[in-house]
Amino acid sequence: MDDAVGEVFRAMLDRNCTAVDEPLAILGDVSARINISGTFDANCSLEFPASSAQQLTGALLGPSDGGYDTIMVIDAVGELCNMIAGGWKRRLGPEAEGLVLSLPLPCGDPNQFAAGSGNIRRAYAFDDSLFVVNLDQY
Amino acid sequence: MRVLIIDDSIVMRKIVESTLRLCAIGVSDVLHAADGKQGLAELANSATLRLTIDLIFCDVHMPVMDGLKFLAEKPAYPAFLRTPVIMITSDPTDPHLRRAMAAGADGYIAKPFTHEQIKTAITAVMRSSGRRSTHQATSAASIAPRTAGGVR
Repeated sequence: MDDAVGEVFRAMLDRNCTAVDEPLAILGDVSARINISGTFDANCSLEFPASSAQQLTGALLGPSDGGYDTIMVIDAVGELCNMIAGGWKRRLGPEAEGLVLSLPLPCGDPNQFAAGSGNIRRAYAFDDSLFVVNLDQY
Repeated sequence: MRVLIIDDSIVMRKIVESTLRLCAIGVSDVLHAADGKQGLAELANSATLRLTIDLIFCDVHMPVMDGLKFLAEKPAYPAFLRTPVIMITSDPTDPHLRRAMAAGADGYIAKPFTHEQIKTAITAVMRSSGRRSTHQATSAASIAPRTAGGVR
């Protein structure tokens, strides 16, 4: 997962993004989820505090006076989730054969992600911003 | 060069557009469509106005009308039969992408991508497309080589 996250930030944002040891209570203001289905089911979800989500959107699109509106910010987090899930799937190798990713699903309540088997829940940092990646495999 | 970008993510459309402009490949106009249906409407509109579309970027998965359906409907717009289509995907192992390539897409770009990867994919697809146009003029049985770009 660390490789998939790092790859997206290097290629698309020209930034480093690394896993950090942070209390994992971010449960942010903006979240997105990708469902993965096929030979097994999983979902990848992201949780962003509002400030980190704005920072992400600005990093992807360039700075904006007054910040980006909610639609753009949710879209940016959804796209990031999509790319991270795709990168994770690609790294599975033959195990990923036949797995299909859903469209990004914006989610209002990050607490709903707590129901999985909790394979991976990890905080990442880019610039001064934090966010959480969850990967639950069923 | 007029380019049509079809993607349900406005953020991704803007990223692709800014990347195209940074690539300095002579992009003049960029049209945006949020799904395949809007993409077909842009084809119809450009045909009515007798404007060319030189290159199409199309997301694989979209609500309303996905990339596969767009590819299936595109031949109904004969002015753009030879306009190459580059699929955009976050998952190069996606079976839907394989179907899109079989259905006539000319290449694909895997997200995340760098400017250089976009430029390389465009150059390869445009070169391949030009070769195909020449072949089609002389032999209806010719088959274009497919170019896959942006694979990591």
